[in-house]
Amino acid sequence: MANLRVKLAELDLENPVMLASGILDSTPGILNRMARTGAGALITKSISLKPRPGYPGPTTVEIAPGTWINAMGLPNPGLDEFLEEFPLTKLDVPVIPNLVADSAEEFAQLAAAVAEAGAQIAEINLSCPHPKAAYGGSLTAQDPQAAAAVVVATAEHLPIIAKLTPNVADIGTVAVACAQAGAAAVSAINTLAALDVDPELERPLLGNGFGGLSGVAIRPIGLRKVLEIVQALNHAGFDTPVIGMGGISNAEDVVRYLLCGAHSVQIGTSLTGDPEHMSTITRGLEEWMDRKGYRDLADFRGRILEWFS
Amino acid sequence: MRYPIPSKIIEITSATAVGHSIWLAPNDPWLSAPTPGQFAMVWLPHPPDGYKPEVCNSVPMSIAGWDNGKVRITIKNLGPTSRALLACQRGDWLGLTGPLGHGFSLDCQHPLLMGGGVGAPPLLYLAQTFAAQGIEPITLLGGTTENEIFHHDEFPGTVELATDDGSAGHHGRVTELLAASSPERLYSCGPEPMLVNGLQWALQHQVAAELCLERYMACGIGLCGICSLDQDLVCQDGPVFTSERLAESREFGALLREAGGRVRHLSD
Repeated sequence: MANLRVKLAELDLENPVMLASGILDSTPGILNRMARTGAGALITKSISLKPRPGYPGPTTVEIAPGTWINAMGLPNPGLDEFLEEFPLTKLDVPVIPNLVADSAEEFAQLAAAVAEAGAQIAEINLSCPHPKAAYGGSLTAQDPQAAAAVVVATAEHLPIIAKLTPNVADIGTVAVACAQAGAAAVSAINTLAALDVDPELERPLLGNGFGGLSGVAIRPIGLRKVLEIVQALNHAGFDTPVIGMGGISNAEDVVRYLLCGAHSVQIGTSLTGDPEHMSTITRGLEEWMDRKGYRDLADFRGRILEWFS
Repeated sequence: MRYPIPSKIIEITSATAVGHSIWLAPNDPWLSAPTPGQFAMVWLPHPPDGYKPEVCNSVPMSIAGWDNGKVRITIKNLGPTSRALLACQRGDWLGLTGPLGHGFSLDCQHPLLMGGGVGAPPLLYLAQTFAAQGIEPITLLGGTTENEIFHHDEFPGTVELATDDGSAGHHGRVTELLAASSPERLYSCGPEPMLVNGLQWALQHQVAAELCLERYMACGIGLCGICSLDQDLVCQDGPVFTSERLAESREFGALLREAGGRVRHLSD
């Protein structure tokens, strides 16, 4: 039997497959359901200090089979209602809050509050590509110094996963800056900055106009960005775990990310309309490892890197 | 693919004091009939004359009818987007994503339908589907006053009305008409307090029931989870739920979620 366990800061995860932020995680009820799908950890939707209603619809559109453009607008009930309602410490599976703010000070406030509520690690959303939002998310992760400043401000309170945007010239530089600033892990990629248009209706497809691209089409981009991050971190002397995501829709896709050096992965878009698909993926990873005769994730993790050395 | 198919408004019908019904012709016609109780995300892509762009949004609406690829939607004047949708003219374009969710089951010889408000439109389509199978449904429809009850003259089978002001039918609540019934199954859609009463009646009288629920939806396609009822997604596992399922729900009749997932207790 393959051993799928991974350590993430102080957490000991059953397996390396996590639920990505913003998917099927808006209420305690649905999070409870996702806790029974075999995921190694659950990342919550992005939580802000004040409530955010989200953007007008359409918020999510499938533009090609399995490929989506979305601009949800980070809908969430705000920190207070979130802390009151969400089972941060009550599920069998670790729940990792994802935080979003428009200044390092606000990020620090959020980090302090979730640490106080029992969270053992938090993910910071440095990379949301919705420029209409008042939040500086996309700007933050495009500027290594600004990203590092948020990591410093939040890592004071609990271990931090810095979630990075692919919409930069050199994602490795941003990852190294976050590692230097004390990030416990980096996660990538968030969605790709995108726009789509309906020719009959002669207008943008999303209520917000701009949005982010996710799903099967972005998998090769995610793999390349994760590989670049792993290379840059190694080169700078860091062994910071990299959590890979982007277009994972089955166990083979998880393997692809792990082969590129990812420590673990997150899954979002492919669960749309099928929450229990998560369990098919985690089971499939174990079956793949058993078939290959691998006892541990370390037996094959990063094997692709030698092709690019 | 879950895409808002451009759909032209080809007919406006069935006006009441609080709204009307539209027939849409999607550019990619809906080739097979949706199940009654399923819904669509209806997108207003451009503001009608005199309306601000902020009214543009995509909102969940029940399917009120289907005819050879064309889709019927009934709109009640409930908020800024529905008011703007009611201002649209024949020839205007909307986007239509669907059909979505799980609808009513149709294996019933003696159905009783009970609706209120915008609960009537999906029941009209259900009644028409039963009638096409040679089954004659009995329908109870409630409303504040007669000219606010959608489709009451279009239902096949027997129809009984109840109005708060006594302008038509029984003077009182539509649930009071249940007392005289002994159906094989109760099908209901409408305001949640009415559904709660319907569920209680069905459980007391050991009648199977299927209730069609309404929740705030941000995506409508099972991605965000804001519409969840306990651990179910109303957009995906619903909007139609059985009485067995709802009898054990902690949230049905108790709490709703608004934009951003903020909780609103129905008792507030």
